[in-house]
Amino acid sequence: MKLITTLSGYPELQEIDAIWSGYDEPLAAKGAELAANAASSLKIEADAGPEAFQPYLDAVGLILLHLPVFTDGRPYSLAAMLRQHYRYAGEIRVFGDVRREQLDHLHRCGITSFVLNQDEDAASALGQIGYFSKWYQPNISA
Amino acid sequence: MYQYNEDDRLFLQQRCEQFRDQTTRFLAGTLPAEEFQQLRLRNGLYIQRLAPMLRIAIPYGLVSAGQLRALAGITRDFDKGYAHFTTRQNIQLNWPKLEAMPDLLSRLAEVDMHAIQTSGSCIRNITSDQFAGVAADEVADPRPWAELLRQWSTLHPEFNWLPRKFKIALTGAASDRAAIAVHDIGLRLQSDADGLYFEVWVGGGLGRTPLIGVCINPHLEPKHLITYLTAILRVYNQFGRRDNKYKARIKILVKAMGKIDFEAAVNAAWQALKDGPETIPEGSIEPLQSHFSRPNYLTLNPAPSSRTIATDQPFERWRAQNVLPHQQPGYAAVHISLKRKGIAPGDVSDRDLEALADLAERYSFGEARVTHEQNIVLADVEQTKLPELFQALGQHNLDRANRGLATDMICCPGGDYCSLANAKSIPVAAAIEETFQDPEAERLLGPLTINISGCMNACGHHHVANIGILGVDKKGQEFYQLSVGGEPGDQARIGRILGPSVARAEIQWVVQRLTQCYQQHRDDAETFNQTLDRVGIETFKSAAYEGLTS
Repeated sequence: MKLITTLSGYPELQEIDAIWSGYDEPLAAKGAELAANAASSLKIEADAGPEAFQPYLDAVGLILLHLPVFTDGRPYSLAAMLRQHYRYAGEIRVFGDVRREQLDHLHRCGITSFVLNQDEDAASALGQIGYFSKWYQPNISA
Repeated sequence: MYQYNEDDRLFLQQRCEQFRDQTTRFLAGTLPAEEFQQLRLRNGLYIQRLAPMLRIAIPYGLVSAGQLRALAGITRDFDKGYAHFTTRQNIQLNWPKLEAMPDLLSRLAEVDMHAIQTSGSCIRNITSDQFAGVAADEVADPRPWAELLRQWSTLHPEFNWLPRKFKIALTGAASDRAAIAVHDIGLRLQSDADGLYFEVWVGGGLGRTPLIGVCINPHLEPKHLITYLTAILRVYNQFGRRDNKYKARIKILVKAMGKIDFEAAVNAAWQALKDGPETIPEGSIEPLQSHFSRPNYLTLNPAPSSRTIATDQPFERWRAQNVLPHQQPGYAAVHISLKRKGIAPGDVSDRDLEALADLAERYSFGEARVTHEQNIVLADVEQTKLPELFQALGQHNLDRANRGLATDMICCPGGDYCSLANAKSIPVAAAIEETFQDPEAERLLGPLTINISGCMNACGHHHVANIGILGVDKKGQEFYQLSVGGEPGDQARIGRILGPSVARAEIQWVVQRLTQCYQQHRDDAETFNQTLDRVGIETFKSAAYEGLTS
């Protein structure tokens, strides 16, 4: 599991190969964009529908999920679906309004690296993961 | 009832420590207020009109005598010596201090209680039939399944940040006492030749847009319960509206997509989960069922059932009204009314809580149940001990014989406490109460539901009452809108608005004229709604507004 403390400290974020956003965008346009770029990483907005990018997941090794605001639950389900439904095994990284109180839950939904909100302290944030000794649900990341 | 194991206790302890740390950081100014708000809500803490309010979960309404005593002590040590039972089988404290919250939650944890997810946009307390396990009309006991869902929904990592709150109710009886049709998910445990199954209802709810749910799966094998509910929540989490909190409940999504498309989306999501790791393995519900095994009933002869009721005898009247049949011969379920003159509906003092604990221990195997109508049930009372129990209840002003009658009003805390309220509720209940001075007249009026909400969030379930009362703000004045013909349960339906709203001073007289109109027009044993349907709303409307000028 990786923890990336700030956006600027991680150059990959500036070099995203394809950006998909919006559930209703035509699939063909998105697919074409991805193919042309021979993408290896993919940035997904919270309102994306995962079935749109499913055919290309084999070519992707890093998925960046956007958490627009810490109260938005959609990236949790997107990550869980990428793991459970689409059997995506590569890295899933979350960025945006990522706060320490969210980390444990995000991780349990299958997210493996985190770009923290600027204000967060990296060490105490990382300490949140695995805070609870027992859970009532299986761990998707495990 | 469910007994916590070491893992449950450790989990709760860690949750308490986590909240202590969050509170400390907030008070030190290092945790932003908007973030702490969300975290405290998920631990049951609101900031209300006058003080914080803590909502404590009573999972599917089951509470032990020890827990009732602990609650009594907590109301004394952390509050003003009283508490309020809600319409979702929770109990609320009105005056706790934020600084004391971590200690309060630790005190609750000592008796295996918590306030987790009693507020916030997450899965709320699981509710069920208050007569689960003893009801004479029960198909199967829903409590093991309710406990399974309590565990599954507790800090579910995927569903802690839903578009809006999410309420699940279950029933396992022929007659629905859990109001499943007005919940985000309603589950009805049924049985056929192949065994048990669930009927799954989705998209019901009250509030601003009252809707009756739709059945999207008439036959779900119990082993799929968790995976199927995960699929529903996943569709909702993904597609429920987040741009407008008034349109964010799952009922709006179900309505927008339509039943068929919503069902298809759930089935598509379910395919990835069905038969997966969260399928309930054969034999794994039995350990949970053992927590709800039948108590050590004595072999008793049932008391004769068909007796003439001497209504001039207080005990007989109470017995006829508040005592219900039981699965076990010689036993009865006893309804204890918390709708008492001069006391806000659903309110109890620390002494009441201790009295209830004592009575639960003495007469009902040390357990009590909380009903969504804001009353208490002792579920396992020997019939021969009923007179004794009635006398004991009388010593604590807990012997009122008004179950299901006009004064058994559901009423939210309203403008006296709640910062969402547009108008007060408690004084309205008190004013209506005043018009029912004669218990015999109330008994002759028969079953009638009068529910009061102080705002359109509808915590008082006014939409599903025969007479529903909704507080509205009219240029700074408290007014009340009336609806008639609502009903929870099997024939669930939303009441129709009667006409213009009326001032507080008029409301009890309008209600009185509505009940008089019903009595005047009813045929034989017709219910309020049957009479209303037959004679039409206009008759009731003209009766209600007679003599009113505004």
